[in-house]
Parts: sequence; C-alpha cells; structure tokens
Amino acid sequence: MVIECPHCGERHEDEFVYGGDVRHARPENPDALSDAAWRDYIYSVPNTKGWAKEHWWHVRGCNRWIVVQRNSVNNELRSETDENYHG
Amino acid sequence: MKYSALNLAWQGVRNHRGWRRAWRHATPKKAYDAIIIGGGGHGLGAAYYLAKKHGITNVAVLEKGWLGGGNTARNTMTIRDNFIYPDNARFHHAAVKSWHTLSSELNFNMMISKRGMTTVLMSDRDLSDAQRMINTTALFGAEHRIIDIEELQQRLPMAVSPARLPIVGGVYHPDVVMARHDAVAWGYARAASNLGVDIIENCEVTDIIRDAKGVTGVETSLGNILTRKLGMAVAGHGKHVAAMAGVELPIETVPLQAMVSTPVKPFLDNIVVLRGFNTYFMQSDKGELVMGSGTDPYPSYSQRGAPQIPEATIAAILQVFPSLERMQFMRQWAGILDLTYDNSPIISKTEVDGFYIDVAGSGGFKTTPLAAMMHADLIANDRPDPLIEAYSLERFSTGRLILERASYGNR
Ligand SMILES: Cc1cc2nc3c(=O)[nH]c(=O)nc-3n(C[C@H](O)[C@H](O)[C@H](O)COP(=O)(O)OP(=O)(O)OC[C@H]3O[C@@H](n4cnc5c(N)ncnc54)[C@H](O)[C@@H]3O)c2cc1C
Ligand SMILES: [Zn+2]
Repeated sequence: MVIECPHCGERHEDEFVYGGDVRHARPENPDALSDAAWRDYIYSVPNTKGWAKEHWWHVRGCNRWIVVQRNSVNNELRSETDENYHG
Repeated sequence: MKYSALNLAWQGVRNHRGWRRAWRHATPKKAYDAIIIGGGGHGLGAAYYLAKKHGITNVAVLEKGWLGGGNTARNTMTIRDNFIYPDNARFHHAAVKSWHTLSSELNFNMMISKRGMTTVLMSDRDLSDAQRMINTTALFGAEHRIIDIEELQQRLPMAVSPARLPIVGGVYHPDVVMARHDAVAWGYARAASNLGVDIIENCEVTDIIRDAKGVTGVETSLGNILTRKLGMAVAGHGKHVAAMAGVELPIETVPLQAMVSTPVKPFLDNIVVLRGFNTYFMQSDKGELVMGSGTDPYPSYSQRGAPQIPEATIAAILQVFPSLERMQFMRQWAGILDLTYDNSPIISKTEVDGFYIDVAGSGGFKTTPLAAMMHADLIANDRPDPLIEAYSLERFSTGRLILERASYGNR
C-alpha cells in the first residue's frame, strides 16, 4: 500500500502506524453511561467493510497524524485532507 | 461406507471405481430444527455434535462458498496448549486433548503428527515469561520445560550458534501436534451427513429473520429457510452476519498471513517459535517450510496481506537459520480473523433468542472439536457449559475480559 501523506507525498505504508477509524467522540458525560454504552464506545469498532476514514500516524516521516480513506476490501486508498492533527 | 485398510484393498482390486461421495449433495428444505451458518471446521463440527450428542438431526449447514475454504483451509495447523489465563488454560488443555480420538470417532484420518514445539528465547525477560507460563499452565495439566542451549542445539541442529545471537535457551512443549486441516472439514461433513445433516454449499446467508420471540429463519441466496435455532461460525465475517440479527459484536477483522517454501528433504521435526521475532515455522509432512508470524498491522478484509509481513518473517528466520537462505518461496496467503479485544473466543448466547455464536478468536483451529462440541451443547440446551461461561459476549460489558493478548506462543 502506498499512502499519500499531505505533507510528504506518496510513501510506503511501512512508514505509518494505523490509528483506528475516525469515529464517535468520547462520551460527554461518562458517569451517566450505561455498561452497554461503554462497551459500544470502547470495544465496538465500526470494522467497516468498504470505504472508511482512518487515522494514520506518519511516524517514520513527518510525524503528523493524517486522515486517510481506505477501502478495507481491497486496500485501495483515496487521499484526504490533513485535519490539522499535529504530532 | 466405512474407510478401512480392508476396504482400501478391496477398492484397489476394483480400480477405485467404488468410492462414494463423502457427503450427500443436499438442497435446502423449507425448515430445520437448527441451522449453522458457516461450513468451516467449527460450523460442520457443531452440526455433527448436534446430531451425534443431542439427537438433533434435522440440521443444515449453510456455506457461501465451498466447505473448509475459509480459515480452515488457510491455517498452519498448530495445536498447542500454552495459554496462561485460567479460563483459557482450562479450555485449551481440554481442546488439545479432544483431538486424540477424533480420527477414530469420525472414521477419517486427521493425519495427526506429533511434533513438539521448541521456542527460542533471546532475553532474560523471555526466560522469566516462559517460566511463568510453564508454572501457570502446569496447574491445568500442560507440559512444558525450559531447555538449555545444548538441548536447543540438538533439537534445532541448523540454528545459528548462540555466539551470534543472544540466545539464552528455549522452551520445549512436547504435546504440540499438527493435523490435516482439510480432513477436519471433510471428516465432520461426512460424519454429519451420514447422521442426516444437510450440507449446503454455495448458499450465502444474506439476512436473519426474527419475530418478537427471536430467530425464525434466514434469507439466503437459495431462498428463505425457517428455523428457531441458529448457530453462527463464520470466522472473519462475524460482525456482519451477527449484525443481520441486530447483534453488535466487538470484533475487528484483521488478516493473518502464512507462506510456504518448495519442499526439501526432512531436516526439522519440531515446530519452531522465535519468540523475540514473533515468528514461527515448521516443516510439513510434504517437506515444505510453513512460516508465519503476527497479524497484519491494520484491519482489512483483503485475503492478501501486507507485504512487509512476509519480508519480516523471512528475515527473522534467516537470522536464526542462515543456512535456509537458498530456500525458494512458493506461495503466500492470508486469512481474515475476527479478533476480539482480548484475543479470546466468543462462544455465547446473544440477546436474540435462538441466535448463538462461535467466533474463534485468534487461533481457533486448535479449538475446533471442543468449540464445536460446546457450541452444539449451547444450541441444544440454551445454556453454556461451565467450560465456556467465561467466553460469553457479556464479558465486554461487565469488563471480565480474558486478556490473553500476549498469548504466549504463536497461533
Ligand atoms: C494464516 C493463518 C494461520 C493460522 N494458524 C493457526 C494455527 O496454527 N493454529 C490454530 O489453532 N489456528 C490457526 N489459525 C486460526 C484458524 O484458522 C481459525 O481460527 C479457524 O480455522 C476458524 O475456523 P472456522 O470454522 O470458525 O472458520 P472458517 O473455516 O473460516 O469457516 C467459516 C465459513 O463461513 C463461511 N461464511 C462466511 N459468511 C457466510 C455467510 N454469510 N453465509 C454462509 N457462509 C458464510 C465462510 O465462507 C467460511 O467457509 C490460523 C489462521 C490463519 C489465517
Ligand atoms: Zn508525512
């Protein structure tokens, strides 16, 4: 897989670390959360089959966090904008 | 038709024209007492035990492709017993034992090959981890022992001299066996079919139908089929199939790769684990080197795998076994695993009545007979056997995880 970093251009996936799906934010009011809602927040990754937005960390490059769109069925990539994640 | 030496000789005389299909070709009936989704070892085994142990023979196994074409055909066949958390240690020790009588029970040769596993340790930390693993697993009956460098060199004659790598010793695990993966699917299919189970290939489940009381059937590529009891054993696709029943599974789908070389003369009987490199390999009965390592570094459904994994696997093996440098690589592949957060299986009821799941966790070939037996028992009796209580889906809300993440060996 060749990932396009908005700062460094096309780089081999080996320079990056996968950082998980871009998904729901941390619950606003953790004390009020039920066990089931906690479970969903912590363990239920979307595990999308198809296109998903993901965080990747360009650790062996510019060291920034970027957002990438990847198709998990065939690992095809679409470049995305950097959402101002600074490493 | 029974498989035996006598029958083999008799068929030989008849030019092998008399063998019959191993399992009946079946087309779906309107309704079944139980349906299993997924025709891998786990699903076929569950159907067999439903018929054999619980007398429920009006059962169908629905497989979207061909039997055993999923992870059952893609794994590296290692059956080991080195789990350190009590629930896992108990379960896996029983799982390893459940292979011993399988060939004779199913009248199908599982080609069990008792290899033993030798783990190469390369730091003091490896050594103390190993000692801890040995002590805890011993409580549940597993046998391992620390071996010194001299014995390590005897067991792995082609390994590099410890002068070149910081090798401190090893662990020997004598009970590790390999079994022929295809035989598991075919053996269960044949035995289940003989007991009346319908095995239906090229039949993809596309939806799960429910009413207020629970499951009532499935929608498939071959039409709707009714049932009140539905078991799911679809490694790699668990999240999506469970979602059809409205059940949310805490699962991530990650590829795991393996690769083989061209065959060479036998030189290695043990399964070798290179602890520091997270890599393992063995020589198959055919003479090929079978190699593998950890899962891919990101989730994916592509059954190809990331290229840096084979590279790192081979680099690791060559560091310890430099004389294998001229071996030729033949094939590489990936299977997709349903990984839970704690890397332990889920064999559980769900909040939907009549919907049961057996998702194998990370290394579920070794558990095939026992998990299938427990899954069948769960479906038949609607309550978990004490052996699998800890594998319930509820553990993700109660927080009672079995954190075998660092499961001691490989696969
Ligand atoms: C490279 C690799 C090496 C491994 N090595 C080992 C090892 O050494 N030791 C070990 O213990 N384990 C190992 N494993 C893990 C082991 O292979 C699996 O845990 C085990 O085989 C799972 O068996 P199963 O029957 O649950 O799944 P599978 O054999 O994958 O069967 C599931 C079936 O469900 C079918 N299916 C999916 N969706 C549907 C649908 N909607 N409708 C109908 N059918 C459907 C699939 O087509 C598939 O045939 C390894 C795995 C891999 C990938
Ligand atoms: Zn960059």
